[in-house]
Amino acid sequence: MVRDRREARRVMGVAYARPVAMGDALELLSGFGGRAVLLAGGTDLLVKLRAGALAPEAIIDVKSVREAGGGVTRLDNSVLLGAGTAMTDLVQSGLMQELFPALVEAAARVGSRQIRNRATVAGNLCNASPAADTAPPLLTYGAQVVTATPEGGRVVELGDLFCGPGRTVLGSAELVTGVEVPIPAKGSGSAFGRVTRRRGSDIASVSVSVAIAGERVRIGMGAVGPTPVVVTEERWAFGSAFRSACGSGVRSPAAWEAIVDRVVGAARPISDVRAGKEYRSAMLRVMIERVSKRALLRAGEI
Amino acid sequence: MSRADDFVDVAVVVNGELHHRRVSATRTLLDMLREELDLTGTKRCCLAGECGACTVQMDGKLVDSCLVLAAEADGADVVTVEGLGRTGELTRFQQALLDGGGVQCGYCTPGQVVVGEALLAENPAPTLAEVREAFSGNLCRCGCYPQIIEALLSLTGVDGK
Repeated sequence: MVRDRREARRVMGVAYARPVAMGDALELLSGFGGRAVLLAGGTDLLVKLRAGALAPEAIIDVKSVREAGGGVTRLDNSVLLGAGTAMTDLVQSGLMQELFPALVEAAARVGSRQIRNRATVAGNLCNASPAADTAPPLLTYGAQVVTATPEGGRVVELGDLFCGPGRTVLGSAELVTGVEVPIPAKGSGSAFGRVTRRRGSDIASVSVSVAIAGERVRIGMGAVGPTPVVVTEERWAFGSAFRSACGSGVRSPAAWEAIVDRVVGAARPISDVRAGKEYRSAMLRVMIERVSKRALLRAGEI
Repeated sequence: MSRADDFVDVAVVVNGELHHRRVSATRTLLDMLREELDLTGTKRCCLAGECGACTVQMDGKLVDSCLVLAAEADGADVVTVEGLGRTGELTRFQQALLDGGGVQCGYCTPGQVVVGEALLAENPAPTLAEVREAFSGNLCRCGCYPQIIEALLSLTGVDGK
């Protein structure tokens, strides 16, 4: 009989638990000592299990843990995205559309409708793919990841979360409860764009997110390095350079090109199954310009 | 304190009927539907959430059943292609697909039907862009995309219903 190579053969001895109390979830995780995996939307986990990339002893389904549930909550100066918030719910939230359009644009492109109905923001971040769509926007918004641990939990700046492809700094008994995103100041604007091989369901070949707020412009980039990256530029210089390069009248692109050079300098694109290194480098420049234009428009800079 | 179990008892409503099954921790909803409940309309294809052939409705939302553990479906309300329309009758979208040449090998068809019916239920008059977007999670290796989309559009308030 021909074996389906994509089936994980090690299906014996994997246990499933669906704790309701956070304490139980953390106790289970501690008890399995790093040999358990967390299940939220399952859209990355089940693919990895089937491919044999993971061979855990237990699957801890956290969807019933109330403290790690979904929901969009407005706080004084920030919005708290519950860990279990599905992409679909994020996209449909009026509050998210108003305050974080780049994140909504990114979440709306994750996979397909079927995937978005299950995939969660926390899962997207914890899976830590360099191409994770929600990472560049959240990085540009200065998001923080809130966790629970047996010792009480912590807050991790998103920029400190990723330590390599598929790897985060989170411990084996650490559970994300939410992502807190500071509300941008008035006069802000943000946008997201990505390059994919096809128009339907696909993983990004290159993604760019730009957030303009206060005196800063942050440019987040995905799929062009071992982790998603973010670069900060000064707002006035950024807008002025863009207008000189792309506005009407005589064009002087030097300042804009210098900024783009600096931004792409933080990227380390490689060639892989989705795209070649040279293509990524070229498309990164194109997307920086296109997405910057939309963000600048929204911020009232052009 | 909860435990982790190798086998899980699942109570799930499928197409309006309640079923109780004991499944292994790694059994997918897709395989439970096909193997334990003999509902083979939903198809096994990429097993990676890329093709949509395994699409079902779970608690009113379209999902790839290959990416849902049967254990996760405990307490859920699932609708498969077999549960659409009335027994022995084709739905309007199914008939439109047949009339319009939207079925060649037929393997992607159940997934397309589940998605199409969900779209019509939520939006009886979608635009072309909305139809394309709705079906973007369903691949068709035979290339019937234009016919599938046209079949859906033929039902959008144009006829005298």
